[in-house]
Parts: sequence; C-alpha cells; structure tokens
Amino acid sequence: MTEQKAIEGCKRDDRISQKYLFDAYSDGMLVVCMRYVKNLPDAEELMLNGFFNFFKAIDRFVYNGNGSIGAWLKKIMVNECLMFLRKKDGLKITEEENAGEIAADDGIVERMSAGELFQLIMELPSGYRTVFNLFVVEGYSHKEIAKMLGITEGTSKSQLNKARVMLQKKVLENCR
Amino acid sequence: MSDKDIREKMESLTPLSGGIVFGKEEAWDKLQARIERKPARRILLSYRMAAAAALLLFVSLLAMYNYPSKQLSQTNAISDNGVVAQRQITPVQETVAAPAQPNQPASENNINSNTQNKQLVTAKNNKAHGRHNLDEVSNYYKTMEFICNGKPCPTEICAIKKIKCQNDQPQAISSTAILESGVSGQIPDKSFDNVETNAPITIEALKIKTGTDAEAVILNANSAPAYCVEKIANKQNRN
Repeated sequence: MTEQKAIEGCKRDDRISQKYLFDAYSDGMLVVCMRYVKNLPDAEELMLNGFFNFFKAIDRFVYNGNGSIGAWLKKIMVNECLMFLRKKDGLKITEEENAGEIAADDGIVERMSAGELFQLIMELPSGYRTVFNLFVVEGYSHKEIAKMLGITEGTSKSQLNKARVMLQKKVLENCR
Repeated sequence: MSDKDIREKMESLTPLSGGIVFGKEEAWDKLQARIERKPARRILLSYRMAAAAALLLFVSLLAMYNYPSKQLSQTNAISDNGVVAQRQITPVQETVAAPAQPNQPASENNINSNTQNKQLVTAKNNKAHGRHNLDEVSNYYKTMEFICNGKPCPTEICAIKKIKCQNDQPQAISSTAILESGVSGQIPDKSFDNVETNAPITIEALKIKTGTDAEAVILNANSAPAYCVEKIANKQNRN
C-alpha cells in the first residue's frame, strides 16, 4: 500500500489504511509529543488525539508527495501539545534577561547520539524546551512562535537564548 | 552546537533510541475504539435560542395555568341531585335508585313533544371544547367521555344501569347528570360497598330530558339506533 492509497482509504474510513498510516507515523509522532510533554502517558494520549483529529479532518488533506503526511501530522501533534501545556501548567513564559554568550562546543553535539541529546533537551524547563523545540527542531520563526504562544518576539528570543545556554552547559557536563 | 545538527538528530530519533517504550498495538486499539465510538450529539444553543426557549416555556406554563381554570367553569361535576358545581368539584352523592324497569320499551308516552336535545353530543377528544381538568374528578367512577350540551337550555341525562352485587343479585342503579347550556361533563358513577370489584355493569336505558317541562327520550335495548335522532327530528318538524 502506498501513502496516497492509504490516504484515499482513510477518506473512505477504511481501518486498514488508517492502521497503515498509524504504524508508519506513530513512533515519530510519539517522539514529537515526548519532546514537549516529557511524560509518556500524556505523550501517548496526545499522540492518539492527534491521529484522531487527523483521521477526522482527512477530507481536507491534499496529498503532495512524500513528507506531506508527516508535516501535517507534526503540526497537529505540536498544536495538541501546546494546548495541553497551556491547560496543564498555563505555559508560563516570562521575558528574561539575556543569559550571555554561548560558548563554542567544538562539535560535541555531532559526536553525541540522538538519544543522549534528547535526554538533555528533556531536562530543560518547560518554557525553554517549548521555544527551543519550536524554533530549532520544528523550524518556526520567532514571529510564529510569539503568535502560537501568545508572547512577544523578544520573549521568544530570550527564552531560546536561555535554552541554548542551559543545553550547552548540560552537553559539556555530559561530555566530562 | 548548530541548529541543523540538533534538528537532524531529533528527526532521526526513534522511540527505542530515546528510551521510550510504548505498546503500539494497544495504542492502535485505543485509537480504533475512539474512532468507532459514535460522536455524542451536541446541541449548540445560542443565547438567543436559549432566551426564546425560556420565553416559550414561560408562555406555555402561563397558558397552562390559566386555561384549565377557564375550562373548569364549563366542565362541571354533575350530581344526582341536579346540582351543577361551578369550578369546584364536590363529592358525588350516588343513590341507589328504586329498581328501574330494565328493558323497558320506549313508548310515545315517555317522550315529550318538546324535547330539543338534537345537539347533545359526546365530546371525546374534541379539541373545540378544550382540555378538561380530569385530575379534579378522578376520585369518582365516571363515563369515559365528556358530554357537551350544545343546546340553549339545560339537559338531563339519566343512565339506568344493572350491576351484580356481592350476593349475586342484580341491582338497578341510576346516575343522573344535568348539563347546563354550553357546558360539558361526565356522568358520575360511584362504587358501592356491596358491589364486587370489577363487577359487570350494563346500561339498561338512557333517559335524555331537555328543558323544564320534563319531556324525555328513552333509549334502551328496544330502541333502533336512529331512534333518538328520528324522534328529535319529528319533534322539530312538529314545532
């Protein structure tokens, strides 16, 4: 079964097609949710919510080749996570002073495994981690992040800077 | 620490490499159950709709409280002694009549020429007569149907019945109702202590009297179905 056929099947509410897409994308989407909410049961619930909304709104989806399903699903998952964080902790993000310069890491990150880096990102505070994920991993601009989180662009930038400095420290500590 | 390196590493991350263990099949089962669950019907009420519904309810309640009291003046309980209680339903004093003449044939002598009850009709479920306050007369046995007197003068209806008592002896009883002009009511039929529960009651004759000159039409087993109508028509022609 190809992705396109699976999408067509999903539009007909075909369970096999839905299962095919779930099997193909659930791992990746669970990781996306984990990056935002840390807690596995919450992440799993959000991932299921995301897939449920995806299948519910499948009629509006237009398949544009490889990567389009993943990109759409990722957007849905990120939205689900942000809604969850807003409800749960209120996602308090305040503007902070610049955390200072980020030291050169001499390619330490390149030598780290994905799992190690993931664990270090998970140790960041919720606000830092959210902005870091949105900017660095998802590729949103500060303007978009500010709109999504209801903060100013300056706050987004300062949060990102803080997150970078903290992560840098953690990376260096991890290498020692 | 470039963003590109971090992004690539995060995108290549799998649950296993990130130390995440989850049951994919169980997760799918949960999702499938959620997909197959019928969505709960959601009723979206705008403020305007809610206000309109509340207003409608208020008006309906108001109408409901006002309407029966109006109707009650027309729906009167009728007692054997001929008293028509207005608005207030009084206990019916049923009397055991002197043994009536069951199967008494109707004769011309029994029928007065001035009888004018041609418009006496039963008004079962007749919307034109409105809703009757059944609750207030529910303490008594009564005819199932309301009878409406459409004539300009009072009409008396007497039902002569035969009932089987506890000593297996048939007993004749009568129930009389007087309907004022333009009112409707039921013929009361109170039970007696010496009558078995669910004892069969048969109506032997119906006596209908209109006006004040005691002229009556009697309908019994010997009367033809169109007897009453014919008699009334004849009287009218004569008048």
